[in-house]
Amino acid sequence: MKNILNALRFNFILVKPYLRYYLLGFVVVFFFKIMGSEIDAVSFMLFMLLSTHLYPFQLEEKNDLYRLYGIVPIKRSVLIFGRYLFIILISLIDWILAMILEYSFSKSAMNISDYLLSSLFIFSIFLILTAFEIPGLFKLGVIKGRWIVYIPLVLMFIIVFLADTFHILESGTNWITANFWLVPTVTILVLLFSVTLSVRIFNRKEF
Amino acid sequence: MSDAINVKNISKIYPGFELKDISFNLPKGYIMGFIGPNGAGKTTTIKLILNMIQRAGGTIEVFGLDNIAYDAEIKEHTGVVFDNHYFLDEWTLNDINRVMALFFSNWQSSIYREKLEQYQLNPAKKVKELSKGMRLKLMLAVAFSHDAKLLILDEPTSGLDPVARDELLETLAKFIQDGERSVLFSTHITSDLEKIADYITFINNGRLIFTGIKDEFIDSFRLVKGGKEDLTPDVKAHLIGYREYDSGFEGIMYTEYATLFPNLLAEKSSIDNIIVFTYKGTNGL
Amino acid sequence: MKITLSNFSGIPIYEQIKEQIKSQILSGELKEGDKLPSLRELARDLRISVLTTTRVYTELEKEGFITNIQGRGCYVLGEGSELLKEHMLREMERNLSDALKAAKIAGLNISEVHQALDLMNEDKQDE
Repeated sequence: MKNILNALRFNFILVKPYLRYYLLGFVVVFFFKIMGSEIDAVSFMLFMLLSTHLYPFQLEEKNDLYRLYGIVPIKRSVLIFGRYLFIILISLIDWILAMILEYSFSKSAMNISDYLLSSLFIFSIFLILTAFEIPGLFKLGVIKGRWIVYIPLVLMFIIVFLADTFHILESGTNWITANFWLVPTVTILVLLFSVTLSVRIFNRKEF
Repeated sequence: MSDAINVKNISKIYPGFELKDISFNLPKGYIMGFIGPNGAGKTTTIKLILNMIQRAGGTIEVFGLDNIAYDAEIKEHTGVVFDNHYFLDEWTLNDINRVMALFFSNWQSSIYREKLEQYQLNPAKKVKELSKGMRLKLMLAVAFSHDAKLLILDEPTSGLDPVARDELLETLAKFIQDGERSVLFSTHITSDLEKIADYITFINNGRLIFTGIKDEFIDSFRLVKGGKEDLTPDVKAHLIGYREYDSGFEGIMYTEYATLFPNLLAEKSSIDNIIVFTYKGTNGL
Repeated sequence: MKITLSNFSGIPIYEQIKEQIKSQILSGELKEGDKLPSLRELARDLRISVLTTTRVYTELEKEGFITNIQGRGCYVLGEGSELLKEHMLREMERNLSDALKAAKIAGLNISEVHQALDLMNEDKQDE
């Protein structure tokens, strides 16, 4: 357990050169909000995060940090857990901050619980997309792997488009709201599957 | 536990290159020089020992423990130096201290800081600002800060000036003083090993050519020289590798064969010549 | 203890060290009871392999020049050592046998050999 926390802390030191880019997203959204844009802070932030998540992978690839991983007495699976924890933690922080930002600038009166629900839904979608992205990054590296995330993204757009075409979008949305417990459940399952896949890929990787 | 490293029949297959049946052991308290031309498989072997790549066969024991089952225990006490640093360019030496403290349960920050001072490395400096020689010292400082009982160096001296190489040899000799710590040192600058290595393992083209006591290694070969007319087919058959020039030839032969040809001049060979002529021989040069 | 190694003399390193230590013991430069550097200290100072110094000390011990006390180190055995006497006796016999062979080839008889020996002894006394 202690090792996993250490692996988490390691990721913070790893992305040290890019720390400012994590904040860049906020600055941009903040700027847009000040200018009166209606842009949804949460969606924007999370979309940017999909790119920001590449940083630890980029850094370790560019510097061939795999040799470091090969030398230290840490199990490869622990490094993977640390990486996932890091990404989820950063995403959580960003999500909460984005919601606060959105709330502070909201012009219409907002029903808090409705907003939280829809925001949680977006966050879950984001986590599912991330769950697709990470194993791809481990397997193919950043340059090729970054395109993996577009597969589920495009799929989701197709689903929404089809749902809209067949006019089941509204009933679908209601159904999800009625069975909302499915959303975090599916998300967690997908994440668990993603971790397992990443561990297998990383264990086989030749440093 | 009498062996620091014990490698038996290990193999690894890559497209275009195969490491086959490599076996050697490094007794505790000694220095082994790991030699061979570039591409012979030295780095591959070291990566296999460190469990960084998967072996196709054989067993590897470090400190008497299987290197896969006891990967973490072994690495707690193994220091590694590669020909280039394995950190983030942007990290400062202080950052490295923080990172290593997270990974090594026996990390001693105080020793690390002492070593940095001893090697005159500024802790606030970034890794990318260090020269090659300073990077070597950095990796040594790291290795010495977690009670390493085994030091593995992979081509650490390529690109270093003679002064830096000499300092490294001094450091290694000091490292094994207590008889409990061992060194595996792969290099193609063999003059370094000519002096302090106790054991030599020589590989070429993925195959083991020799492993054993350095003095015996040097003694098993002779550099033979003669005139053009001395280069008979019989002589050629016994030569491991040779070079012809206008006034004659020179080559490497096993010592016992050299005695068959008393007409040739035979003398002790440098390790370099043994490697060069073996390489020439296997590559039809 | 003074050791000077030559890389070019063609004489193996371990032999050079052995001979130099031996002659220093015999000349009295290294006295009985003097402590020799440890195997590893010597190897480190001379920048040579520990196995080489091990071989030197092992052979010197066998020939009776030094003794290895477990846990303490290697010490010089003086000229009074029995082993040393035995070793030097054997060396003398070997040299005498060589001398006799050479004398025979030169055509000298045994009394001429005795004469040469006495002369040489006088010279040595003068030194």
